[in-house]
Amino acid sequence: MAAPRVAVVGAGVIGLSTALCITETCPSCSVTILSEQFSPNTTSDVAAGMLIPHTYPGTPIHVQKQWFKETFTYLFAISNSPEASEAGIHLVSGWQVFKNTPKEELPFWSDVVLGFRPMSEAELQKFPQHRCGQAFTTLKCDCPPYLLWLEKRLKATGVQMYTRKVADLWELHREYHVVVNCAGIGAHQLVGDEKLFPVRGQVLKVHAPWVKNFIRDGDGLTYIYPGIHRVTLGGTREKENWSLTPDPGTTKDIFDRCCSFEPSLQGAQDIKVKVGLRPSRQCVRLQREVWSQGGVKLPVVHNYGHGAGGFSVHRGTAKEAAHLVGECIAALQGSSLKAKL
Amino acid sequence: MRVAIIGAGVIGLSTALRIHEQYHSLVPSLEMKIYADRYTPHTTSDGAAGLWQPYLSDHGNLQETLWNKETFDYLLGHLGSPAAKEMGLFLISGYNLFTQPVPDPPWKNIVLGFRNLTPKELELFPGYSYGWFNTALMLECRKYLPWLTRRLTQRGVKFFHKKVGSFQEMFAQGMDVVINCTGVRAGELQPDPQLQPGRGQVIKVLAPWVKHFIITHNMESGIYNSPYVIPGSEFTVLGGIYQHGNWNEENSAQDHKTIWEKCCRLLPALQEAKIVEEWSGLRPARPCVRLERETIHHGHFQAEVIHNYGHGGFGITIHWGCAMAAARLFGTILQEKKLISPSQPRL
Repeated sequence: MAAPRVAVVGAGVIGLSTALCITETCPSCSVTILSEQFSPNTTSDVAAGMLIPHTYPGTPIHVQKQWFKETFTYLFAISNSPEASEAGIHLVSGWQVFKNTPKEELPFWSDVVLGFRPMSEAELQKFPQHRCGQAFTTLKCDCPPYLLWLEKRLKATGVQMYTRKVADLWELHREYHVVVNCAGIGAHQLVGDEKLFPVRGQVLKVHAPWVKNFIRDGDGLTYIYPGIHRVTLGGTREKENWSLTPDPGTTKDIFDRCCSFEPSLQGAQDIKVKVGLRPSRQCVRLQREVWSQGGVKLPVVHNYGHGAGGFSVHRGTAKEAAHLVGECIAALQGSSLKAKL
Repeated sequence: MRVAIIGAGVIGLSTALRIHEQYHSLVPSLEMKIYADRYTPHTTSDGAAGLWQPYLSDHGNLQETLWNKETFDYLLGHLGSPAAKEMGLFLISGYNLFTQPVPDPPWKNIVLGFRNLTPKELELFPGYSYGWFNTALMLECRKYLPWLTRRLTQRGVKFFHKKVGSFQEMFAQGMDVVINCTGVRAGELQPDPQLQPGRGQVIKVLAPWVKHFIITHNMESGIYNSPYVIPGSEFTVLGGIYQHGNWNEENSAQDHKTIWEKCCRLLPALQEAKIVEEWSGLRPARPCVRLERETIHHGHFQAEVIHNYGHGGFGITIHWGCAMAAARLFGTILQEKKLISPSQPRL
């Protein structure tokens, strides 16, 4: 087979990083990205991009840990290179605080992030309503910079990108040998996955450059994540809420909750409100299938459903998806050889 | 009771405020004036990045460690207040890096979350094999000094832009007590061979992705002669120059090169940072802070001077502890003059 043609549907962090991994593992492939939205209008652009994993109930922990470790190692190297500022990757330290002692003393990722330890009494004094906490240093992927950096690297390897709303993956079977589905929340409609549901998140992105540390409530609802130019204040986790319209009452509630953690945020300027729908699922759908219709076969690799943890595991799942694409291509080449016999 | 404070850096203004806050209601006749040849943003304090961090060792000077602690605790208490942003006060975490193991510093229990660096963290800093991580405070004088100035102005304290030539000049104007916060140029008012400039130079850049301070240490070249990176609320300060005895306040091209190359080696991402400003200043270096009373006779009268200078590269770190100590000395003077009774409650 001459250069196998691979279509990646979706241009958020999952689509772009998966496409990049495919170019790395399969240099002879011709990769094209098709997406209804590109940065700055993807779900990824709304996210703070903090590397603090979300636990998927349906995926074995050792797999999640491997994905996280792979992602962390990859980004750690970028953060330490001259490309760090362009890629939007930077280290940030801070605290995760709990009103109620968590069941697990050590989360599965505690030895992947840097310097993880319980907070001292003196540190906890800053959070009088919380009884314990964890201090650590992790990485943050600022968007749009990270997505734009991925796009730049993709273009440099010859990957084409087109704005196109794909209504059905079958549309692509004539032009492409393999289709990779990184449509995020779009997969609900695109492949009719009823197990995929939105968890709506509203955030504020504010100008408060004196905030250098992150603060996160262990309940996952209130967080302060300092990015390169803006601090992300969050948030909400509203299951099955599909609305992308910011809610003013929610804005005030988020602002008040964050100010109670960090009073200096009262002085924050230029508040921008954003909404994203976390593409949530019991487990990430990371598998390959062969679709069949009227004698035509279409290999499909799915890589979606990362919910609240997309950034934390993106590189790990992208590599696995690229591997699955490799398997699809090998299978196609095997069968085309057979056909020639 | 007429008080003159000479010097309007962090030491002068904070000492003035502490004295006024403590004694003005007890001594209604208290008239305070501030004299300085330089005001913010042209003082030595303004050029400093503003990181609260003492030197690695206090050389047995426990008094200074106590003043450092008093300052940290005072500032920490203000973090949650609405004034914090206006004061230029915020928490910051970061790294101290060494090429060999060193003893823990006297301030390890003053800062928050002090710990040694893990091997993985040290991978970030090739060439350094040991280090500390802790959370400390930033107090940016470009905001703090104007904040102090506003508080003093509200209290009716008067400011004069004037280079004072001698203590006698102040006494001739009827000053009862002079507080000497003249920093590196204190020797012009009274010779002090122990006071020397510790010249520093810094490059201010735009590098908003840097969220941690990074201070490297070279035990041979001495404090601040090794690269450091300190992110502020607007700019990131790159430095690493300490030249004892050098009075030159002009920027040096050689020092610029040293700072830039060393800091970029430490943090490769800095190569993309845009340079915004360059500045040189003279740390008022002394083996120990001069914080003491001196009675000066002029004619038939005696007048009091309280010296509060020689804070080297840790003026911001120690300023409030020293302001309180200077105010206590002032209180003693008031008692001697029977302006307050010894049992007067302190604010």
